[in-house]
Amino acid sequence: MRKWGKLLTALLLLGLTTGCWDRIELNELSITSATAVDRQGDRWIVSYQVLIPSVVSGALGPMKGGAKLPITVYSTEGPTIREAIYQSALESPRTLFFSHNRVMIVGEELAKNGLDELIDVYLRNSDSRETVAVLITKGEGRKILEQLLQIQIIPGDGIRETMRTERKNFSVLPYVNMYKLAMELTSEAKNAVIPEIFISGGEPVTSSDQMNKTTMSSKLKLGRLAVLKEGKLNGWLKAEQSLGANFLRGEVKRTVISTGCGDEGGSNQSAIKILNSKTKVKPVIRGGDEPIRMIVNVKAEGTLLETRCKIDLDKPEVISKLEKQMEGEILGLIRDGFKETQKLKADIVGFADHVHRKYPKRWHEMKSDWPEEYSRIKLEAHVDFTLKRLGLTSKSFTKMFEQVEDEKK
Amino acid sequence: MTQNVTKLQCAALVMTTILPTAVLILPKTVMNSVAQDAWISLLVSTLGGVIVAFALGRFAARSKGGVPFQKGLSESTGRVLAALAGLALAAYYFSIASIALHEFITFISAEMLEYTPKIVLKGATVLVLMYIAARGIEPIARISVLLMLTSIPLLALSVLLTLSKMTWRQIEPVGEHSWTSIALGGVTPLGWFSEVAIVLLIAPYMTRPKEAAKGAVWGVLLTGAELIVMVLQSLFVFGPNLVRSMEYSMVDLVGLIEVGNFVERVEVFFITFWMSTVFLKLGIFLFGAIHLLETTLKMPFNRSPLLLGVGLLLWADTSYNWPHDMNQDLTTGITTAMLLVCNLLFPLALAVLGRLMGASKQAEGGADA
Repeated sequence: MRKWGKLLTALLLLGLTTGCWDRIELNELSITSATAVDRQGDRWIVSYQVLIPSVVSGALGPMKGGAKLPITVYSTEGPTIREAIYQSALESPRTLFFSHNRVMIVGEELAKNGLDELIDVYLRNSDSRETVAVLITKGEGRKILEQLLQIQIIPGDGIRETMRTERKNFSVLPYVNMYKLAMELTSEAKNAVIPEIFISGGEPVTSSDQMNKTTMSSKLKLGRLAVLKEGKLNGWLKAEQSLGANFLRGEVKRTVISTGCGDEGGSNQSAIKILNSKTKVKPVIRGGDEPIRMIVNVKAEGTLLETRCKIDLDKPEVISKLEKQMEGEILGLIRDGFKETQKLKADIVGFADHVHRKYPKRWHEMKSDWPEEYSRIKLEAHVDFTLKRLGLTSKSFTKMFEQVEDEKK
Repeated sequence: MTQNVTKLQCAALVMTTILPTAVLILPKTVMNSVAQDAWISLLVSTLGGVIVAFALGRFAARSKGGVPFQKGLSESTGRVLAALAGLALAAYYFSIASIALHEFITFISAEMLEYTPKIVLKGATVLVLMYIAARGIEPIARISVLLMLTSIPLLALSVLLTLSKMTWRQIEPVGEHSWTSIALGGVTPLGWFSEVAIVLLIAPYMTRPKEAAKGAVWGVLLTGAELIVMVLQSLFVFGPNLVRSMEYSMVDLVGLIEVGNFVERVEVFFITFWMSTVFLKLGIFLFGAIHLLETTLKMPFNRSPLLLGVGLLLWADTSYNWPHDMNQDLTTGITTAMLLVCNLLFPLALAVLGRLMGASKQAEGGADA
């Protein structure tokens, strides 16, 4: 009897261990590598770059004429973002799967209307990951998803890697993902930034025939920096202004800046690579009508990559002059970038947080009027640049060439 | 039951009783009250928790080895009062098991198994809990030690992997909120720390019941330390404003972990570990309810029929008592009040009553003599 009881229990337990209602097979999923969200009137247009798994696994070699593409792009629309996504059930045999979504492209129209709803979708639903990189584009986001990349098989993956490489080696644009965007918009200043992506060149590359060339008619490129104020698109910063703002945000990892030859005049004669940079920000409030002073100290180190200056780099005073000029270049970038954000009255550099941290009581008094206060801030920036290395040669080739010529004479 | 539980196991049991659900709810709750000063509130409530643990531990240390808490209580306060106390505490452990089970399944449903009916998830969990409770306190204590020892390197690993995303200055301005707000922010965590009262049930089965206070204090200290690290971690990565809107900030936190393109989506690894701690926590509560019932009612038969009955009741209660999953603020408020009353005020009242009755008995004995 006891034996039968155990057997019956085991059989009943089998019913509980066969799986669950959430079971889903891999071949029932549409894996999205990139998504774009646009707004048309009161309708949401959601576009998906969906992987074709059989092609992705076999597409490691070069594209052959007429070969299948690794992705397909389609759009759905609805009155809300989620309803638009669920509309895909009407046209796709598979369920959309967003866990591998690498990038989210936001259309300019949507950004002008505000990103609150989009961020809410990401924070509310467990299938949307906050690590997704966010980009903005002028016009429709769908066009970006349709553009193919040559080096990276999956365009969504390629866009994200471009952003990562840019942040690591050039630092002009910050790497913004959904959680950072939400964090910036909920920070004291309530402003945020999103890098721009656009199709550079002529006709968009959307077919394998166009891919089968050494030079493509167009390519995806990162561009300016969109400035968001309280969740809505407020303006744009040019690449140099964005680099200046990035210095203030303390987000410059490595970058290359062209400068002159110290005191020998001219600019864009040498290229210096910044290897690391640290920014310290200290707010000073005196009271009365006096504007807030922000004392910014940037400490950077770099290496000389290129020069056509007729200077003797073995002399410490020459190096010192070069460093001074570089400090001036960085200072110029910072001031230019900051001035533009002041024009937009958009604190994207996080000065509000600094004021709140140092003057918590004063902050609560000025919080409501922060855009105005920000536009009046007096920036006192100081740059301390050290040229750490000169590369593999201490003399410029121009100087050597000149010396040889002189000796010949 | 034999007396095999060591001081270390006692501390681990206390930790397993408090930490698993506290991790889920406290970061949001405390940051809602005092934003970036949440860690100070937690520090204050940990100190409060240590005092509570010491007081309850001293009360528990008075128990005789091998004599269940309720039976020991009947010797000091009389049979009627002890029976009422036993039933009330059994009802409390049953009720808290039901609430914690609901919270746990709500999380599983929201994060992983959206379409699986919650009644099925709850049923399957209750089966596991019944098995845990049937094994008794000593196997639970041994597994608790393993989980405690694993939790420390896992926490260190999660901190290490999120280090690059941290902004230390999110902690500033330190002490922006008034001490009253900071103290009030510590009330909810104190409710969780009061769950250290489980030591009352554990002490009789300790090799040295006198060490109950030390075990309880160490348990609270370790739990407090881990909670403070976790809250600081959420604060440094997300900032106080975003954590306030996150239901499960710790899950979102480990979801951010990415090392190159080869270590991604590791939250399942952390969640799996965390789930095992929740199972154990719920098992401890169910064990508490069963243990108190069987000693109070002096069951003439073995534990299995009682376990089956209470298990079914738990399944029904947790499945039909919650029309909505939300209203966490309301449930947290009610739960905190219930925790403080049942874990702190009620046992302390019993201890005082026991002392008074013991003193009057002694006086009567003296007078008789």
